[in-house]
Amino acid sequence: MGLLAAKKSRAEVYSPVRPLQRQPREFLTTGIPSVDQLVGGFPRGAISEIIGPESSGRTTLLYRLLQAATSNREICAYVDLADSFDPRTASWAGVALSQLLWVRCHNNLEHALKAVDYLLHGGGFGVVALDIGRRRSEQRLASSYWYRFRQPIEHTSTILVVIASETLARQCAALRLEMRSVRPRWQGPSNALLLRGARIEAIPQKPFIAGSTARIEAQALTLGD
Amino acid sequence: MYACVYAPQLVDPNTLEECALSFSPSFEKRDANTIVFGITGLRLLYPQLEEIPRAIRKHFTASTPSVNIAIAHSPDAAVLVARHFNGITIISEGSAKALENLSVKALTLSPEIAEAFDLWGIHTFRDIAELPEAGMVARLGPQAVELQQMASGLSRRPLLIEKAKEVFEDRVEFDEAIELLEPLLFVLGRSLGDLCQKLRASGMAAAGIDLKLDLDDGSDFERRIRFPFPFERSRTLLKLINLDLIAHPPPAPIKALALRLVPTLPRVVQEGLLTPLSPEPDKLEVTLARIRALVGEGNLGVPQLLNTHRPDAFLLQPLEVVRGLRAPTSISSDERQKLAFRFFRPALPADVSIWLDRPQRVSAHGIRSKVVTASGPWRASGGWWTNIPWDRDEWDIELANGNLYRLCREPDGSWKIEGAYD
Repeated sequence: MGLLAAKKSRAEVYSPVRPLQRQPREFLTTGIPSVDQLVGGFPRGAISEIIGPESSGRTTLLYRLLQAATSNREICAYVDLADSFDPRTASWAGVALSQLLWVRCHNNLEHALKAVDYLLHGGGFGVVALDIGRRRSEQRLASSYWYRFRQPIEHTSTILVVIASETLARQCAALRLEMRSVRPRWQGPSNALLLRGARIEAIPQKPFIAGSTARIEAQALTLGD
Repeated sequence: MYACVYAPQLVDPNTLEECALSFSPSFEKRDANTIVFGITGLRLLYPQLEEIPRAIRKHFTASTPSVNIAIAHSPDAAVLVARHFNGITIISEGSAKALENLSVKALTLSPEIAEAFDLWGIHTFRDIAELPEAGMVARLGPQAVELQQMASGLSRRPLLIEKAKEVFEDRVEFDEAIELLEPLLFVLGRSLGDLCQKLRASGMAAAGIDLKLDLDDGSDFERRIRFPFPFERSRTLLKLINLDLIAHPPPAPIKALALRLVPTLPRVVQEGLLTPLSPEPDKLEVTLARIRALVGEGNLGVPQLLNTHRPDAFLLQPLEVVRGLRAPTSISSDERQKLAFRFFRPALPADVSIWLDRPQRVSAHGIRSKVVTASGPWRASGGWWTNIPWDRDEWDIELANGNLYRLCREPDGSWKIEGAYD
């Protein structure tokens, strides 16, 4: 047996330390062309993070994702730590409320994390959103939670999306989008201005794509809508 | 073979059913005085056919003197004979002679057919049996075939069985009062196992559980649990009771328990290849019960918007997952992105500096900044004819750090930040 053939046969022997062959991921597109072209959508069977300060457009992007999932007839869950979900703007954004389970946690972080754990282990949800929002002590979250959350969804179609002011899942997240502050669009004379919308920017941090930004023009809800 | 018992002067309405059940597990009750049941299997017990009606007659006491019993090859023929011939009558298969002199009024006829028979001079069963079948069908419709078969004693149909309502109940009394959940669940598990087996044997599933606990202090503790999807696995039901009792523990030790399963037909769903992802009903119900025990009863559900302009008006409804092939949800044709809003619940009380009737500076918990742009005031009011009126001025404000908030001034002059645009 030649040296090359011996090397080849050794390489084919199963090794317990050999990294697993990862299947190519499926993505759920948001329907926002700039975001979908940049990152391809939200990866299924993985944790995604939408991070940014208040008024940066995190919730606008999340509602768009929930709209895409519920219009695909998937059942979704919204675990709301700060009890901040607004059904009216979600419905206006196209989210099918009848397919959205809302869990109100009244600022009890332990309840929110346990609820996510139950939902992910129960299985069958298209998108599970964990909205940590403007909580200040979010840094105290143990990293073991994210390994625990990643494991049950790994080979499923479920997407766990986390909204927070900064990254929490770190290396457990497959996608991280950083949202930049909204630049509001006002209309009308100075004494009768009307909020017409805002420009939002999403910057992919993971996978990092240097110099790329997705710009989203969002329209504000007015009396006519 | 079928037996029909007709007792026009019956005192106890259950006598007929008791009589039928002592000969056959299934029966058809035509009315309060008439019952029909199959007797084919009785030929092993009673080799002579004549013995069967005699055995049936023995079930009726002397207080019910007029009991007619008929044996025939079809339920309809047995009923007709029992109603119109006194005592015990046995007619053989296809024996039209026994019925031929009966009046057509013995049949249940529609007014049109009764009028047609009267015009044609048809008065007896023999007259009907002699009519040509094709001509009858052409004139009277498909019902004519059925009538002719009944008149000839040839009708063939199964019994319309009325099953006795099954009850899935169990009661356990304890020698000593139980204080802990674990031994209670052990007993509940055994009861549920037996009840679920009985339920499955009847081809049913559980739509809910009624649990009644007799407590040591003499009071009763009741829990009614209802499921959106029928279950038949005792493990799932036990877990749901477990979670419900954790959320609503009984206030005193338990002396006895009474368990009742609410039966319903099981829901069978054909999944399609392209059916979208949805949770398994039993797993979902357990998951929801776990979360309900964690966050409380009113903090979990599907939001439903109310038909009002009152801010933050919604209801939480139970999640109902429709499995199988579902109609696609209508997708909004408007592809523009919609700016989301986040509520602060409760709204943040704020100190607002006013200059020329416009907010200049805002200070609240975690928010302190100069107002760069303000849009308002937008008057919002309504519900003055109800118990929950609202009346306030709203402002959309942009702070120096770029954050967008909705600011509200209540009628008493207090300011609140209702939420943020995000």
